[in-house]
Amino acid sequence: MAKGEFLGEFEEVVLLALARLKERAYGMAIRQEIEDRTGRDVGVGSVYSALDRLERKGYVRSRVGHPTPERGGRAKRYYRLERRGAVALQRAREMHAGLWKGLELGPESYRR
Amino acid sequence: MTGRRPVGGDGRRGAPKLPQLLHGLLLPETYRDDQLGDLEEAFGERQRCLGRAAAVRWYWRQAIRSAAPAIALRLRAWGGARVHARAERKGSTSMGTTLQDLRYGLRSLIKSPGFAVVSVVTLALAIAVNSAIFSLVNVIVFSDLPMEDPATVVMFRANNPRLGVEDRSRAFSYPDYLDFREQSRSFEQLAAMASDHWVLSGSDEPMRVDGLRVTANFADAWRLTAAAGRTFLPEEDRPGAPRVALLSHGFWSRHFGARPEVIGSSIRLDGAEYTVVGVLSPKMEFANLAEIEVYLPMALDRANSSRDGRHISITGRLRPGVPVEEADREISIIASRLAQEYPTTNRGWEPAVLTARDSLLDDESETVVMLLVLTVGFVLLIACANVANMLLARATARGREMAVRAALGASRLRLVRQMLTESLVIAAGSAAIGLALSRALMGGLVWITAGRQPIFQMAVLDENVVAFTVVLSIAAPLVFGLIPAMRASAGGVGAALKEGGVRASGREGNRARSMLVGAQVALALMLMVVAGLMTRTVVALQQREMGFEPAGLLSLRLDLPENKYGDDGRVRQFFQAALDRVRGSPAVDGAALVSTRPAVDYGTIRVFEIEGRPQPEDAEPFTARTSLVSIGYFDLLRIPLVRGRVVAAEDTEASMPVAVIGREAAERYWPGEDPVGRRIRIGDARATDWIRVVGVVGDVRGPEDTEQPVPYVYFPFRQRPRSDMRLLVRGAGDAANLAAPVRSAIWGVDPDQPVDDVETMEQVLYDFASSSYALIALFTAFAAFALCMAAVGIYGVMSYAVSQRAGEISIRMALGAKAEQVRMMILGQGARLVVFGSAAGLLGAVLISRMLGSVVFGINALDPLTFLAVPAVLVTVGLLANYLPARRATRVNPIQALRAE
Repeated sequence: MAKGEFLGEFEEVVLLALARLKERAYGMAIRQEIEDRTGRDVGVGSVYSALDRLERKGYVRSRVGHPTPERGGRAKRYYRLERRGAVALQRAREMHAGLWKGLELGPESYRR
Repeated sequence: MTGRRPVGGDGRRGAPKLPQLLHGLLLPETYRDDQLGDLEEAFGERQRCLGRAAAVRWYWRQAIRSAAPAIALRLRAWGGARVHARAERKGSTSMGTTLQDLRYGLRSLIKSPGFAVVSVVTLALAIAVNSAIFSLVNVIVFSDLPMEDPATVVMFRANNPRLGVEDRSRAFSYPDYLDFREQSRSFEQLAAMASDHWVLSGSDEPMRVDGLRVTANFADAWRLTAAAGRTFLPEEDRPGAPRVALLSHGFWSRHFGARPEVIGSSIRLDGAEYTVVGVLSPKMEFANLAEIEVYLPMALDRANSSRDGRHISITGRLRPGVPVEEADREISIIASRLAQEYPTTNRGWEPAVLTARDSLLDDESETVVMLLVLTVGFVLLIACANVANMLLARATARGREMAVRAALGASRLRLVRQMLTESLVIAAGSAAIGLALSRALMGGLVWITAGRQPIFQMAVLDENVVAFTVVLSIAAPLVFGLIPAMRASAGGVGAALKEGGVRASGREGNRARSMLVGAQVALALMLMVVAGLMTRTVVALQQREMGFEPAGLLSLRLDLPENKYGDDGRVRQFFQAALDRVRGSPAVDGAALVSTRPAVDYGTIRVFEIEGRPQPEDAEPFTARTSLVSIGYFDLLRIPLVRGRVVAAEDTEASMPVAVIGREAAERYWPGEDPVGRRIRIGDARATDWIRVVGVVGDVRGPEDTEQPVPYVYFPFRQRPRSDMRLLVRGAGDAANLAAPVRSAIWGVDPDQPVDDVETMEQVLYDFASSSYALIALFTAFAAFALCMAAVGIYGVMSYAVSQRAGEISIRMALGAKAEQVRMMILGQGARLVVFGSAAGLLGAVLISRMLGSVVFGINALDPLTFLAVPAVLVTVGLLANYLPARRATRVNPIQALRAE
């Protein structure tokens, strides 16, 4: 498996937030979801950068919505999880699970 | 937030424009709308729950944090395109190449830091002055006017050539306004305004507030809505109407903490209670309206006002479909009718109707602004020429590099693009530095003008200025980069690679550079002439005879509240007591009162009659600037007595009314006669008594920029008391040290009396002239910059020429030419540049000086001193810049030079 096929950490975060939001997923909502769930204040630019990468890999698909007045007449771009994205997330989860299996981070596991 | 808000800053609730613009520039097209829309939406939510300030901060943070990812997105898009194109076997696409060019350009600039720094700094300076001047133009042309639909709002101006009154707005009388309103049909509304001021008392210490009296239809004419409460009702400007007031938004915020319950409450102005009915929109704090704190209705009472009191301004709203020219014509017709009907007061006054935007600048200022724009444009051209020059030199040096690249298969287009990208990199760096510098420059202008010129404070770096700078930094490289790029890439592979081929194309390059330098010299000369003429004008204006001694004088304003000092007796009493106390202070040598200070105050111009001399129908009326003075005024200011006597203790309210006149009034109205003993009568409604002229004093300078002395007539303060006077005080030492003892002397008479505008007379004079100083500072700085650039250009070209001709020079010297001869040869080559450039520049300067005709005073627009001195300076500097390379030419080591051949 090539290196590029693993999800980066931030990509994983974005993808999960997007998956949770289902059809309501667009840039600012994803940013908000990440902040609500993880307490991380991320810039909207970074979210878009990650989404762009994910779209290039075929993990997500975007479509342009309707312009609204509160957006200064600008359209929204909605994102949907693609099958490949779901597979990648699943694989990341299994990878995490495999790595965590039988691991306890007690006081004996690290140097004091 | 209680601070003064920026003009128009609160009207929009949208996201801040500047970060939006900058972020939008960085974002690739694909994501621009999505991301800006997201930000806008989230901004709106934040603004609703956290307030605007927090939301704006948040927006800025988001925009800054998103800059790097935005660039990453852009690069990825290019990269993607490149990969895509390669797949189609079409070679690299434009975006991929641009990226390559960018990298290459940056690298080559870093490798020659000297060139990079000099060119970036040169351009940055030029861009800075352009952005700064554009931000002034921006205010004039693009700023939000406070009124709705400003295109149909007009302002009246008045001219009276004989009195030297030009384009004055506060120059109409109340009856005139009513006549215009009744007789004209071009306007939906005509409203009047007059500045006024009151003492606000009640809660805190008494304070002076500046205000405007307006007719009740004022808000309708400008289609203003109140930010809170309401505007005036139609009946509220009738006499006897209940007392109501409007507050400016800034005053409401600053003084009343923006508390809503202030509306409906009452405030005490000059001792009378006024009900606050509303707060005007913050948009009203515009230009000179920014200082207005309170608006009161102007009580309409025809019977009580004279046509002679010209102190109101008129504004109006055109009827739909009526062009401003038609309104102007109609008003002129009505005015000429009025002039026939009331010749003593109205003859000679010509009104003009202008749109609100046109009225921001009078003709003279417009010329100055145009000159500034032209000047900074020249400065930019000169800077571009310099950078082009350096690029040309580099191009010649890089001839071989280009040839190698061409040999390896680079197309000519590709090479030109490569070089242009480099120019663009230089320009981008300059634009960033230039913006920062222009901010500093505007700060400097505010400082020079001591904050007296609102336009400099209104000029801010908004999105228009940023956009202008971006456009400049894209356009400039096309100007300075294209020719060098074309030249560098020309010449074919073989020629450039051949030994000595570089030299051949180098000579050709030098011809282009010489032309550029010639153009620089010409432009520099024009700028220097403009700066010279402006400086000479200001000097001429400042050198006009003052007629009095300002050094050591302290000036204070004493404006008595009407409620406390309602009648003349009390006014006289207060001022007499204040004068006695101030004169009694040990620090004070002398003190006097005056209503209109010389050289700076406009005061009132009044029409008068001369006894036994009927006013001829067709002649101009007798007019003079009038001033009320106390005993001791002329001595204090050291204005000489020419004949008769000055105002004395015998001139009381009970004695015969008298006047003292200035020498110009005497010579103009009593030519060849002795005016002392003659009688005059002021042509207003109340004038009944004849006034005897008892003396003639020396002329003092008037406030206008005219060369002619102004006729003055002085009346004794005791005979015509007035509640708003200036107290002038002279002491032994520094006038500024008098402030404390004088204040305490006045508070000894009335502890509640506000003492305002405490300044030394020299400071007052400086402030009055400050905008002229700012202008000559600007023009001189531009000219100096241009001169330096031209010198650097000459030096560069001649040094290069010397290095090119090293071989030739060494042969000459080996054959016995003397150092002197060689020097002269090189100097001659350089002198040609300077002379041709100067000749072209002189021609241009003559053309420009025609434009200057209206702003030049006291000297001819073709002022011989300027037109001789400027070329002399330029030629001297040019030859100096030429001398260094010429001297180096004679130090060429012939052996070395010939070996290199």
